Amino acid sequence: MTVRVVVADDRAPFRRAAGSVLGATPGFELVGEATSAEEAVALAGALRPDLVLLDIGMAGMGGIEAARSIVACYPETTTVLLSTYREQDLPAQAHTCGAAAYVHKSDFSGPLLRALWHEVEAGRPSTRSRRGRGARLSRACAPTSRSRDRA
Amino acid sequence: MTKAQRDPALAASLEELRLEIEELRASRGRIVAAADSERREIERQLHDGAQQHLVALVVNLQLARQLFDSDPAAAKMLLEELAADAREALEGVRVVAHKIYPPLLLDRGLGEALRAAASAAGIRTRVETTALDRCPPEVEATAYSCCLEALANAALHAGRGARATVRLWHEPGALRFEVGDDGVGFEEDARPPGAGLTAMRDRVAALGGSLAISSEPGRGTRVSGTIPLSE
Repeated sequence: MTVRVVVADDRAPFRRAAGSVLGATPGFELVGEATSAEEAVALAGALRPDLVLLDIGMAGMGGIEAARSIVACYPETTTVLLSTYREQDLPAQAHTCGAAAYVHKSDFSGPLLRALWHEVEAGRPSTRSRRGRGARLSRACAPTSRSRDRA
Repeated sequence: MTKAQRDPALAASLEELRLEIEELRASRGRIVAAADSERREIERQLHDGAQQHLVALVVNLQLARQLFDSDPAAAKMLLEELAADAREALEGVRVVAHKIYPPLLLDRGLGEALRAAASAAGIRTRVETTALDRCPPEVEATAYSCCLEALANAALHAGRGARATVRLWHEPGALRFEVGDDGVGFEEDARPPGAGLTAMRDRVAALGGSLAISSEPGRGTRVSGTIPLSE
């Protein structure tokens, strides 16, 4: 099965880098790019991707609200928050918006993506911090029971 | 009845003093607000500019490392792209560093820094300096930012084809600067001072100096400032 991914970030450098990573990671396919939170929600509805990567500080309503909307409207879609914040600096709503995980942008890589998806599919996403090759899934942003139930 | 109530001249002096203190408080508040605003702008530029390029660089470097064994040609191509990303990140850092404190101002002083900046001011500008010695950094930075702000205003308001002249010179115990243009000018009473002019006044006043603006329709605009130099 190929995991269909939408990348949502209003800054081009990371969108390009994420596209390169997805292109080089077997089993993942970039199906859409959004440059605002609203566009991300719209693409989630139009394309019904398996995974939406959302920049927290994105223009418009922001990645956290976009995750909340996507989780509410399209529960079969997994959302992951990204930013350059340290985990301890994440806004409180990041913990409750229903996103499956938080990934620091500089940790984004194929192996991390595969590990993340493996845990999503297994239905028991990580609740511990992981730092393999700089990647981590956040304890704080591990799925809430609501998003886990819906996933 | 207090002494001030009995003496109108004393009452007037006290009132004048009260107004000056009020203005001083307001000016201090504006200076703090302006510094905060500049810091926020620097943070935003770093976050939206260099940091984004560096993050992308890290992600792509990790990818290149992964591709190195499986697809060396793709890894090589990616590394070539990364050089361009690194240059963009460097340029972003250079722009922010320049805004924090122009390197030319630090290294070569007001004349050369203003000549370099004037070339991008959006109005044809001549910079004249007369036996200009180096001044304390806060004096040079204040004169520099006021001259650039005045040039930016001239570029915006002086009209098509206008020219500007920046003059800097020493007077006993002070640095003087003047930015004049031969543009359309304006009726001084008709235009209240904008935020830029108020910020210039505050900055110069914080160093004990003064700033004046004069203009007449059809006869251009002149901004002149004096900053005292401590002995």
